[in-house]
Amino acid sequence: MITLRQVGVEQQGRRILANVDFEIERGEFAFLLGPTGAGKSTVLQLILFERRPTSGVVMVGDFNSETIRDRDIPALRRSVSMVFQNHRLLQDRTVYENVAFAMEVTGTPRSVVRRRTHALLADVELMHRRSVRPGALSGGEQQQLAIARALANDPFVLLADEPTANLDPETTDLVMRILANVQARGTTVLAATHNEALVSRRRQRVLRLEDGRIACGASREGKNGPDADSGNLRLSG
Amino acid sequence: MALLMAFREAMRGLRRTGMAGVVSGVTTAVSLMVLGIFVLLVGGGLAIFESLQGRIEVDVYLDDGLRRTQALHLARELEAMPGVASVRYVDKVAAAEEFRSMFGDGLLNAVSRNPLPASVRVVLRAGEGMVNNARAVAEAAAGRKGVESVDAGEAWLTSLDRAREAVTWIGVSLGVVLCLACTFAVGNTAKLLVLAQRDAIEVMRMVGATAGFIRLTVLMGGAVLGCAGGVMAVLALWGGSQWWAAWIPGETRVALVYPGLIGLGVLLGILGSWVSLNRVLRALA
Repeated sequence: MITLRQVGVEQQGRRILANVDFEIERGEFAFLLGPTGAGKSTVLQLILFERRPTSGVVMVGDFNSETIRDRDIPALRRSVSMVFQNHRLLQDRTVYENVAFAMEVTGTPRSVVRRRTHALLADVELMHRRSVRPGALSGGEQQQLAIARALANDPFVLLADEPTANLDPETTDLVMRILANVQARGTTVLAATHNEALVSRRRQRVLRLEDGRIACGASREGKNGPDADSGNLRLSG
Repeated sequence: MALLMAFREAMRGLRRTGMAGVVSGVTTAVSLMVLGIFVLLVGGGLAIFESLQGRIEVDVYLDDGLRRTQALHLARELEAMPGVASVRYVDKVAAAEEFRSMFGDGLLNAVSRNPLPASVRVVLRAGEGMVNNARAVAEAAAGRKGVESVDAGEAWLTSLDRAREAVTWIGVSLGVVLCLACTFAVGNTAKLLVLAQRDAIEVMRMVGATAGFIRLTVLMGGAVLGCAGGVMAVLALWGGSQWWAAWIPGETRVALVYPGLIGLGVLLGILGSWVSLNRVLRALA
C-alpha cells in the first residue's frame, strides 16, 4: 500500500531524511513517532506527493514517485488524504460547507454531496455544529472537522499530522477513536506525532523517526488491528 | 457540470471577497471608464477633422473667354487626378445665384454686368496626403490656358493637417499609456481577488481538484470581475452620453466603444487572474 525504499530528502544542501525504508499495508494503523524536526512532516508530504524524494522511491498504491506525472496528482489526492496540523479550514464557510467543498470541487453530484456530508458530520460528532464557522469551534472540534473533510472523497489512505496536538485528554481520546474507526472501515491510517505517551497507551505499530532515519518499527511486529479503545463509533461510507 | 460548479465557486469566491471585491469592481470600472472617455474624445476629435476636411475644395477660377466645352474638358482632367473625390463646374450664372443666396441682391444690382467668374470646384478625398493632393491640383490647373487664378486654401489645409496629425499622435501615445494603466489597475484588482481565494485554492489542490478546474474557477472569477467593471463603465458612459452627444459626432464610434470596453474588461480580468494564479500556485508548490 505505502512503500518507502531507501528514501532520502535534501533541501538546500541539508539532509532531512536518509535511507528511510518501510512498508505499511492496506488497512493498517501506524504511528510515525519522533521529536520536532525529525522529518515526520516530510515523510507525510512524500506520501502525499507534495514533494519528491532526492533519492529512493515512494510508492502509494499504483502511484510511484519515479513515474508519476503532475496531471496524476489530483487523482492521488482523492485517494490519499491529509489532516493538517493547522487544519487549513476555510474560515469564511460553515462546518457543512467546509466538508461539502472537498466533494464539490472534485465534481461529486450535489445529492451525493448532501448525503455524504451529513453522514461524515454525524460520524465525527459535529452534526449539531454544521451551521457555524470554524472560528466558533474548539480546537478539538476543528480537528474533527478536518478529519471529516479529509474523508470526504473516501480515500484509501488517511495521513494525520499531529492529530492530537494541543488537545485535552478527553478530546484526544475522541479524535483517536475516530481515527481508529476510519481504520476499522479499511482505510490505512498514518498519524505523525511527537507524543510518546499517546503512542505508548495504544497497540498500533510505531515507526520511530530520529534525525531523518527510521530508528525502529520498519518491520511489522504484530501491533496492528483496530484500536482497543475505539468505542462504538462507526463511520459511514 | 464542472463548468457550472466552477462558475458557482467563482461567484461564491467573488461574494466572499466582500469589500475587497467591491473595491476591485469599482477600480476596474473607473479605469475602463477613463479609457472609454478618452477613446470617445479622440475619436470625436478625429471625426471633426474628417468632416472639416471633407468640406475643403480647390477653386479654379476661369477666364470669361473660356468656352463651356473647354471648361468641362478641364474639369474632367482634374477629376482624374489622384485624391480628387469630385469636380463641379459652376458657370457665371450659377456663381451669381450662389452669391445672391449668400449675400443678397444689393451688391450685384450695383454693377452693370456679372463680375463673378465661372469656376471648377475640386473636392478632395479626406485623409492623409490631402495637402499634397490639393497642391498638385492647384499646380496642374494654374498652368492651363483660360485659368484666371486658383484658390487651394493651402495655408488652412496645412494647419488642419498638422492639427490632425498632432491629435492622432497625442491620442495614440496617451491611449497606450492609459491602456497600460488600465491593464495594471485591473490586473492588480484581479490579483487581490486571487489572493483572497488563496486558502480555497490551497484546499482545492489538497483534496484533488484538477489543475484545470482550479484555473477555470479563478479565471471565471476574473472574467466576471472584468465584465462587471466593464458594464459599470458602460452604464456610466451611457448615463453621460446626453451631455457629450453634442461634442462627439458619430454614433457608430460609440456603438463600437461600449462592447469594446466590456470585452477589454473581461480580457484584462482573465489575464490578471492568470498571472496572479500562476504566482499563487508556484508559492503553494
